[in-house]
Amino acid sequence: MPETQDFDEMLPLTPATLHILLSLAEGPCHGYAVKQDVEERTGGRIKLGPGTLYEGIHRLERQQWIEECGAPGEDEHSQRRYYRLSPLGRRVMEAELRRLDEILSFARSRNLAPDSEVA
Amino acid sequence: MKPAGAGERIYRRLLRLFPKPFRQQYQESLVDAFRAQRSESRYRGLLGWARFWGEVTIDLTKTALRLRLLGDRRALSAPRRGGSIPSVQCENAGPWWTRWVSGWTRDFRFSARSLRKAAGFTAVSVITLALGIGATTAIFSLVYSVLLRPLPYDRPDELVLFWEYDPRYQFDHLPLSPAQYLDWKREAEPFSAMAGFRSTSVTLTGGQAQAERLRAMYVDGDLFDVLGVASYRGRQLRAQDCLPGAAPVVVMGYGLWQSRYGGDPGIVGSAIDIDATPHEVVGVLPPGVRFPPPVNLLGQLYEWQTQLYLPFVPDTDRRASRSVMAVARLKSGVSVDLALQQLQPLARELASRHSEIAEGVRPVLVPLREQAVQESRGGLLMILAAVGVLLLIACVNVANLQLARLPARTREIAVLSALGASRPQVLRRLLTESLLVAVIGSLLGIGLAWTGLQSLSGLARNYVPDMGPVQLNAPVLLVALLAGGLTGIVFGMAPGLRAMRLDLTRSLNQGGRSASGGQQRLRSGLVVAEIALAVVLCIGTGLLFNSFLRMQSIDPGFNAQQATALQFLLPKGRYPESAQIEQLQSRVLAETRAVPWVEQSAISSTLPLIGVGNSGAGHFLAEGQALEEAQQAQQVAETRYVSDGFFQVLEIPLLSGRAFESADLGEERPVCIVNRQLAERMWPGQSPLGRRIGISVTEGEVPWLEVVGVAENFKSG
Repeated sequence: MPETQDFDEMLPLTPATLHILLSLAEGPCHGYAVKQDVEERTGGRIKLGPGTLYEGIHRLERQQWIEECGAPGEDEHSQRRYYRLSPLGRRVMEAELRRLDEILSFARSRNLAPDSEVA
Repeated sequence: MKPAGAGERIYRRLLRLFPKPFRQQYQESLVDAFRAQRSESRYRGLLGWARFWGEVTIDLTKTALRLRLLGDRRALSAPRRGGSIPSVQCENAGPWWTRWVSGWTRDFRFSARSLRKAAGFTAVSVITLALGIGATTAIFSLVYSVLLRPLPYDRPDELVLFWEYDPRYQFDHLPLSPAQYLDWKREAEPFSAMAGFRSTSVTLTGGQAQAERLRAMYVDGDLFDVLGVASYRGRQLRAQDCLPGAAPVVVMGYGLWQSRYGGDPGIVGSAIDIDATPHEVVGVLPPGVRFPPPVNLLGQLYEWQTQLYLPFVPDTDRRASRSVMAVARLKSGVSVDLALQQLQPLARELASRHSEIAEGVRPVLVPLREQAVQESRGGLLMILAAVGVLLLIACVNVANLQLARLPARTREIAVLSALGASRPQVLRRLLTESLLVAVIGSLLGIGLAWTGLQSLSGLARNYVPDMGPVQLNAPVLLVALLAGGLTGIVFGMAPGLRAMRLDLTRSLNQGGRSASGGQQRLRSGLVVAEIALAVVLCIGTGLLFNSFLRMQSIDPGFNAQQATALQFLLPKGRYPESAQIEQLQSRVLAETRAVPWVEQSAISSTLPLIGVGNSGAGHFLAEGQALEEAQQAQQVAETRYVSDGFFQVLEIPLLSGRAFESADLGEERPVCIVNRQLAERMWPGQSPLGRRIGISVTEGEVPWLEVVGVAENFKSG
């Protein structure tokens, strides 16, 4: 497993990648559910066509950030493939969120972020 | 699970764009996601459909390209978005092809952005291209499918039509007499098979639908064997069906099956009423197959829209009337000339055996293909030319659009060069942009051609119901795509090529507002060419329209305005007696004349310009003339049977004598009315009234008719 500093090499993640990781962080999902989740969360700003979706999944699998797993209980007999976040993937995601958080806190402290006036 | 739709099948095929391992791993998941996305509500309707496919195509090409070109090299991190002029930046390190690809991607993105900025230009270019490609291809494809589809028979080159030449008529496309046909069929050497057919019309009744008058063909049982056409449903006719006393059966054309029976598969085995006699439907022909095909006989197009095929029972001993057409298949390797040579001895023998065969009668063979397409080839070339001009206009338009942008572009290029872009980089940028426009325009064009063709062929199907499948004509589509695309690309590159020998400072200072003299000349030249092409098209259309108008304005010698025609044919099965027919006819006359807005009505055996009158087998002769004299002078006249009121309804002037009266019906007063031409020919300078003529006289007793009137000539057929 790479050392922490290696994560910085991998960052920043593309928005689509981060959103896929976020979707899987809540529990195992099949590909299309990830897509729906992402589109819902971003209000359709990020669209994952079938190609984009599985290209992303393919790369994430190769990097061992996510892994295929069996279908959960109620969907046992489904033909669909389910994926879950690997421990490595979770750490990458957290590293990216931390990075974003640092940027955002900095921006807030300088009243630069859009919602900073409220604070 | 629902069966896979056409869309899904296409998508599956498109998945081949992905590298194989990726495809193998994710194929089903991809299709699953595709299916789920398709069912989303925002993709409903036609617009939704277009949006869906647009998104799916872009998604697929983009990711497939990335996977193929970059493999797994690409990190998951965000691309580093650079300055405002991407391709001028330093290229990334890496093997040459990654640099190449990323350069192109960047150019592509830049082009997309700059095209979006010049939205008007982009839209007009794309639409011009799409219209040019789409219209050209759709129109030509339709015409091609309708007119020049290859003959839908097996090895059509071996098929010949069998006619006879008779010196008495000086005509070499005569049908055969039934007995003569049987002789040829039995004994002709050079054919592997031969089949006769005879045209007829029948009335189809029964079911919920209206009675229909249809073109039918009596055909020999082995006709479809000769043609090599398998049935689409059920079976073909057989030789046994043509034996006297066989149960009445019929084979149906695909068009009729679709239009009247809605393609009901249960039609085979059921009975339909033809001329009030039930016939069992034994088979249906494949779509687009019809016999005979449209044929050119001495410059006239004969198009039998045959819809029903009935067994043909030739009347064995009739040698006088020529009613049978025949098609034969040459044995393989036998040419038409050789076949004619081989037929000579048999022709002589037949003539010596039967005295009815006139001297000098000889067989005539015409390749079916030759006779079937001659007529359409000229028209097709004309349409191809017209469509070509249309495409040229589209190309000139695209070129002009690009040139109009040239001054602005020159400045842009100067800026790029000033910032350090190399000439290849500039050219590549321009090329990408032109390519992008060309590709979008072409894609739209293909879509337009396809949808246009669908709706056009739907329209055409109303007129040609058994039209075969209509396909986009690939060669024409290709030519259109190449022409349109290349024009766009070449002229899109023009500013770049010019920049090769450009004075940087000057064009930066000038702001590129003025076009140089050379371009001005080129643009004017293009405009002139465009106008010339448009004029050519207009003139062509005008000429066509003019000849159409002229055809309309021929004085037919009668006045059809305010006249309305109705055709009725009486099935022999239901009206066997002539008394019944006469009764019905007088009822029709009486009842139509009782209608308040009907001034006059009449019945005629055939209508002028619609059907030719019957000229019968024999000759006509005036009383006092010998039959030989009439034969020598070739006295043949068209005869029409008309009721009283005929001349009144069509406003054909009577020059002397009287019109028919209802009292003329019946046997007691055999009378006739002749036209001016006949009167002047037979009795020049004398009154024909009261004289007697015989019509369709062949021999023996002459049924004389008294001339009671002379009518003005009118155009018959």
